[in-house]
Amino acid sequence: MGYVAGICTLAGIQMIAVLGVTVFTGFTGLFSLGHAAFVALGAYGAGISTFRWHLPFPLALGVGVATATLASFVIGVPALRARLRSDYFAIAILGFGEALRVLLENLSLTNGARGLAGIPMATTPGAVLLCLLGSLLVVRRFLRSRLGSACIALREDPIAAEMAGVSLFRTRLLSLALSAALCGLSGGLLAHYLSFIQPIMFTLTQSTMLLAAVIAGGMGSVSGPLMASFLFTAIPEALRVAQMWRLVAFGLLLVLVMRFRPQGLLGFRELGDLLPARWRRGFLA
Amino acid sequence: MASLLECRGISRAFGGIRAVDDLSIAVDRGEILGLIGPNGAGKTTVFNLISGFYAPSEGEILLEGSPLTGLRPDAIVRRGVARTFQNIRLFARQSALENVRTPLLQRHPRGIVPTLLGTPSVRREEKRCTARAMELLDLVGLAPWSSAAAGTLPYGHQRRLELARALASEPAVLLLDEPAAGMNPEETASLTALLATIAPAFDLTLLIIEHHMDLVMRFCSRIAVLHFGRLLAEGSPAEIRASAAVREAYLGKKSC
Amino acid sequence: MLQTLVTGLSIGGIYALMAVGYSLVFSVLNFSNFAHGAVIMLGAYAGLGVVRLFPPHLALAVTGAAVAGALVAALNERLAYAALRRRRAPALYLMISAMGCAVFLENLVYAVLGSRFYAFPEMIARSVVTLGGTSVSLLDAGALGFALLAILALHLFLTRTVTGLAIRAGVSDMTMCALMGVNLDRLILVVFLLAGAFAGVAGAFLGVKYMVYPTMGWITNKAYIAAVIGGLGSLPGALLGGLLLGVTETVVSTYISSVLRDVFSFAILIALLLYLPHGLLGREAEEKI
Repeated sequence: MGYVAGICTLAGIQMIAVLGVTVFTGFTGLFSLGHAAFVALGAYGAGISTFRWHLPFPLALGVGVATATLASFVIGVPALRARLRSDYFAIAILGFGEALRVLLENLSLTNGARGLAGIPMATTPGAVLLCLLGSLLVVRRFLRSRLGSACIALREDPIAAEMAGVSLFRTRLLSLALSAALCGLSGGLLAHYLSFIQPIMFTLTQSTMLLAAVIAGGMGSVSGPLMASFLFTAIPEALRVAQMWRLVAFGLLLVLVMRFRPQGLLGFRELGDLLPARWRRGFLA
Repeated sequence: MASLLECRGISRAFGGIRAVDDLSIAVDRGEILGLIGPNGAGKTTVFNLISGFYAPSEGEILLEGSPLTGLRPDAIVRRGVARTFQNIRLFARQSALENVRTPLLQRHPRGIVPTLLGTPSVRREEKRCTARAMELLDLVGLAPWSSAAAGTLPYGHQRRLELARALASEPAVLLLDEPAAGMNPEETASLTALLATIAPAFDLTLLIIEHHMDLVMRFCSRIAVLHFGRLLAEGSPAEIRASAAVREAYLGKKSC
Repeated sequence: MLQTLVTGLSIGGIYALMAVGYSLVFSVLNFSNFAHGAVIMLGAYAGLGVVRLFPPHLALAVTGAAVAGALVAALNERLAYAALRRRRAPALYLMISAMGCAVFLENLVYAVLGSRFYAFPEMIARSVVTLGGTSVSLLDAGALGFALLAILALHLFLTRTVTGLAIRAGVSDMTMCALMGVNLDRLILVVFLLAGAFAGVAGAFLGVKYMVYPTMGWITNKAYIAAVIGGLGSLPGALLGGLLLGVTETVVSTYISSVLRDVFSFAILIALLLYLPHGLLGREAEEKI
């Protein structure tokens, strides 16, 4: 695969996960430091499906998505309940990430800390594009429907949202499940692109990068985080910046954005909003 | 005749303060009950108890005979009790239309899978909700501002938007918490006229917390006076106006 | 069994030190300072730096760590949080900023000092004290003792001094506090200095007991879980939660499986969230509607 094609594929895979975090943080307003765990579950779920059980690629991806989604209920049901503030969820998912990593490092099914190698390289740029477009369609549908409307209401004012008939718990749980599914899809694609996965690849650091893309791109926007995600993947690759310096930059970026421009690039707007009115068609219109 | 909404001996304390103390009131269908009393008398707490944001430490709240106590606020809304807030709580970054559309969409839910798939029936329902939201905006006179972000609207418009949003939940009982707060006499009169047309049109039973006495006395069919969380007096506007106890506690020693 | 209990208590003491700092900030400012782990890590490095420059002595290391921790926390608050608080930004924004600080600091250390694991020199005799059939290393005993003393001192500070009183008043109502003439900025600075000092000390103890490395801040997850067990926002709860978590983890580690220790901590958290969400000593704070 050409160098540019490779970067674009990787960026596309990342964008799907960022789409997931966009739904959960950007549109439902909940803070998560652990979505990398769902990417991990998708990666291992799909990877094991092809590597050990020789399932066809699309089915394997489905297994990855299902694994991540089911896992989201494990944390979601205890931690997203109505009377609990969002700090509890943040802590719970941090704990989940750690616990998951320990499990992955110690199960023979996952080949432990050594990682799973030899996963078939089934991810083509075309596959990623297809998945990305599909994900965009699903998210668009979600946001325009009563489900998305409920999420946004929760973000704006949870009390008023309940007064509008929105069920706090069910909405949060659903938002988490969708975001986990998207991250799981991303993970599955990643596993079959890199052909090798290790538990250490899915840590707090990765979760922070996902969050950084959503914040820098702008909460309440879909195109903003997607653009930010693409830039975050492509630019460091192009500049050959060492991984740890990238992270120094991301950390600093988060602090600076929050301090000086909390709405990020395109907060609460879409790329289409920048076009002249004649051509404008908002994502949520 | 059984009342529509009934509070039986409800109490609620915060720390050492009994915000509501053994309160019992009942509202019949079609009534407009005014809830008055000095600040801190517990009026908003009563609304919070009815709408489910707090649970009463004693007593129960019944709607058409079945208990509301213990239900989550969104379940209570589904049963038919909606409210507006003392400090306006709108979805500030959403358009006025979207603010009203949100409760409408919640009102007629289809299942998750059809919604995600975007079946024709779901899309039809969504279009219906958009149209209905426009109707409600038009009713409160906000149609020209339908695409404006709710947070950018002038104060009076925001109050009307809250009203439209509450109506969108298709309630049987509507709790209005100081709907005329911060309004001058003309705006208050205009609001009163609006409420006077809406209440019968939507077959509503209203509970209104207000300090604007002209609105309360002229509009409400019955008034309940709260004082330190307790029911001080209850009756028609004339009776309340004549009550010495009420006058002393709240209206001041001069006759009004 | 008693041995396990004692070992558990000593690690629990360190967890408690970490949890107290976090709970203090949480209870006063109502947000989760996820940069707490980075302060712990920097405290450990500072302690290490001190013993490299000066004669190695545990007390010196701990003091150096406390000072460094306090400074980092104060800088953190001034540079990252103060502006947001003044704007009344939602807690979400503060948490994101905190996370940014954590990632920034951790990776800065990683990039500048490398990923090498450092060990403290032998400062405290690896001697062991025997008490009633169990043996406790002097370090562990010291850590637990220090944790208890420090938390007691904090308690006295909060209940007996004017500043402490102001902090506790702030816990109930920040705005009222400001209206009463309390210098809010200075008060919050004191809170962060205290929290940072505790974090630094915890870092030093961790570094001495184990090792010093850039990602050691992640152990703060345990502190958050301990704080939840004790009840978010409660300082006695943080102490209790830390000790309980330490003991439970050690018991699991010894009798069931040392590997599954972290999985077990997570399971405790989930069980707690399901059945006792406000922890052992927490209280439910209600928003005014």
